[in-house]
Amino acid sequence: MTTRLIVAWLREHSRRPLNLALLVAVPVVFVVLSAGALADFADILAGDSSRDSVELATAGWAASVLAGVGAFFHVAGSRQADRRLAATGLKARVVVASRMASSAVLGLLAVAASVLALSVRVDIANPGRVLAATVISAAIYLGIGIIVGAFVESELNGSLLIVFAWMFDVFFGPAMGGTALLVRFFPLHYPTLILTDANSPHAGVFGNFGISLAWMTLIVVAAVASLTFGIAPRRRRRRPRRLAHTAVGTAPSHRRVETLRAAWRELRRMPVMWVLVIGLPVAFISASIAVTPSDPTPVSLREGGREVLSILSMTDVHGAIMVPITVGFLASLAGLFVVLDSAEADRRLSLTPIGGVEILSVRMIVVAGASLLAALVSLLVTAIDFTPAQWGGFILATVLVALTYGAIGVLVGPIFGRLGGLYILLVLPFIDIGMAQNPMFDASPPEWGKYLPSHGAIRVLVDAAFTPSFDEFGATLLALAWLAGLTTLAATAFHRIVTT
Amino acid sequence: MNTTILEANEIHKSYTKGVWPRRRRLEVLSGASLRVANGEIVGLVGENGSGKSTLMKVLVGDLQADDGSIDRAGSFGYCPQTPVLYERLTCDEHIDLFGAAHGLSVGEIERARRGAYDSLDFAHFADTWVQDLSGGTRSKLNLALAMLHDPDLLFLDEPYAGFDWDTYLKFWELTARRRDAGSGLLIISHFIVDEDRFDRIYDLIDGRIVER
Repeated sequence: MTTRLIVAWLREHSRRPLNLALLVAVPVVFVVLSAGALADFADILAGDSSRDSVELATAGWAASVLAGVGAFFHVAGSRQADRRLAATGLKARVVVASRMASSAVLGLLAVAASVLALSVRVDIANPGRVLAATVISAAIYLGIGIIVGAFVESELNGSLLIVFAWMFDVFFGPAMGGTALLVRFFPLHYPTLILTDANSPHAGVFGNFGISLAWMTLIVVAAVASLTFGIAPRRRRRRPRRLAHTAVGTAPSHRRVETLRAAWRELRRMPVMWVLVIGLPVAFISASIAVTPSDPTPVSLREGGREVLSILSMTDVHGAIMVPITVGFLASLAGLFVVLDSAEADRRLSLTPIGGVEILSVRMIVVAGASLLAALVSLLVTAIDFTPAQWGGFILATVLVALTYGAIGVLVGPIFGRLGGLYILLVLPFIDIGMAQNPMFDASPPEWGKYLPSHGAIRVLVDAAFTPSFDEFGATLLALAWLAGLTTLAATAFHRIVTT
Repeated sequence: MNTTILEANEIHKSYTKGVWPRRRRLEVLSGASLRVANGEIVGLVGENGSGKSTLMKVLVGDLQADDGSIDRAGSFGYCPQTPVLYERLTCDEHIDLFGAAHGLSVGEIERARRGAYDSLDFAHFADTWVQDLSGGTRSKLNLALAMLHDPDLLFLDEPYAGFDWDTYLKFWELTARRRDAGSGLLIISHFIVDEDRFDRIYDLIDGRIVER
């Protein structure tokens, strides 16, 4: 029976062939494109590891996030059906074992794609060690994905939890110089040490392998327990909430207000999302600024109409660039889930005289509002440690990134669906803002980076952050053109799913 | 004298499934025609998968027909087979939203709210989020939203799935009242026992409609 269940569930998963294709394609893109940049980044942050060894770690990082997100959707999407299956008299352990095994197959696919991509990029001196550590990394996040999938109902909240846990794990891990006591408790800490072949003074008698295996075992056991709990029959967990009733008006303007109010209520009632949207920028930006050394770094700036190469503090550059990175991720995920969560009911609403265009405008306002909130929080947090030379331009650039990536999230959802869209949004802001436009890697962006959506906005941001006068008019126009184009495409995609 | 408020002629609809080289075309409706007049309850019956819900989605404009014509007069309400609702809004908030969407005044929304709660008996869930409602109460809200604005024409796709016996009987009282008030109703049904509740019945067989 277990085999039959595994085959059935994998068959179900494979019927969205795009998801499987992305599960393979995304780690390939991540490893091939970002391994070098991440190694540079680790070097900047004074990591203990050599440049080559950090490239090896990217296989583990890519496999882990893909396995985690994939397992989350695999479990969260089938929780009710699994419970029903268990209620038929089938032993719960059979259902749990089958779900664990089918999730593991997805994890192994991510591992295979990641290690293969790595082998194309670098010569792997010790393939056994790299493969083992990549499998452990993927298994740890696979378990985390299953645990989150068993308890968190909202796909947006679950995805955000996993993605940001992974970001903390990677960017404050040992390859990036993270050695503080707290970061040693991050699950990828010791697997990363295996991948980078670094000596760990705090692994004790168990060694990096021993502690990594212990982490993996602990999380897999917790995942099994979570799945078992998740499919067990239970009483209703939530009590109905009492809410104030509000009356409404009837004029077309009031009709739009009521639609907007309803959309806002839906968004407001996702408390975990608010915690993440507000809490993550606070933690992520503050921590990034805190761990970056104030070494000098060259950055290409435009001042008085001329290109100049300025030497700036690494801490300031990191503080400035973390704002659009964080905002880009949050805004794109908000765009993806706000639209997909409500698509069916919006479609029904569009059959009333209110029409699709009005619903579209309200949804776009809500996405823009969520994106702008993420921008506001990020700016406030940054202001504690970093003061840009021109606040106006810095805010303008951040808002442009927020709205542009909010529109990208809206656009990606109808085309790639939830899981496929999430895979894309894990990689796109990272490659665009985090790598191509990031002045910590290159004084000015590479040629290919000029064709990515945030190029104009980040040129404006860098100019506003580090020069006293505003010179990036062309870049502002470019950013506005990207925003207008993507918003039009997003509106068209949304309109199609709601009205056709 | 009854006047026609819905007339559909020669509706064709097919779906394309799969990706190349396993791409295939599945024809669901192949020339379906029907008519509904005001003051009548019309049944639409057919086997599972015969295309009843597809036809209803085409009639309300949720799906585009490949061919054929649809003439609809007056306002309409639509109750989809599976409740399509916002998970984190309450029943009251749904009524406010859909009432406003249909252009009802505040007083009309209040009257519609009371009417829906009284006739289907779910006022005690007025402030409950949809995600916390039982399947039956979701179905009640699903139906109530279709009827809020007292439409001339009602499309109901198996609206009583999940209802208890009392609610099922109330549902038929409600539809009879609507008919007597002059509305036309097109109801998808599986139950042969409902036969005497309809003024006319259409069978959907092999993508075409046959009147009994």
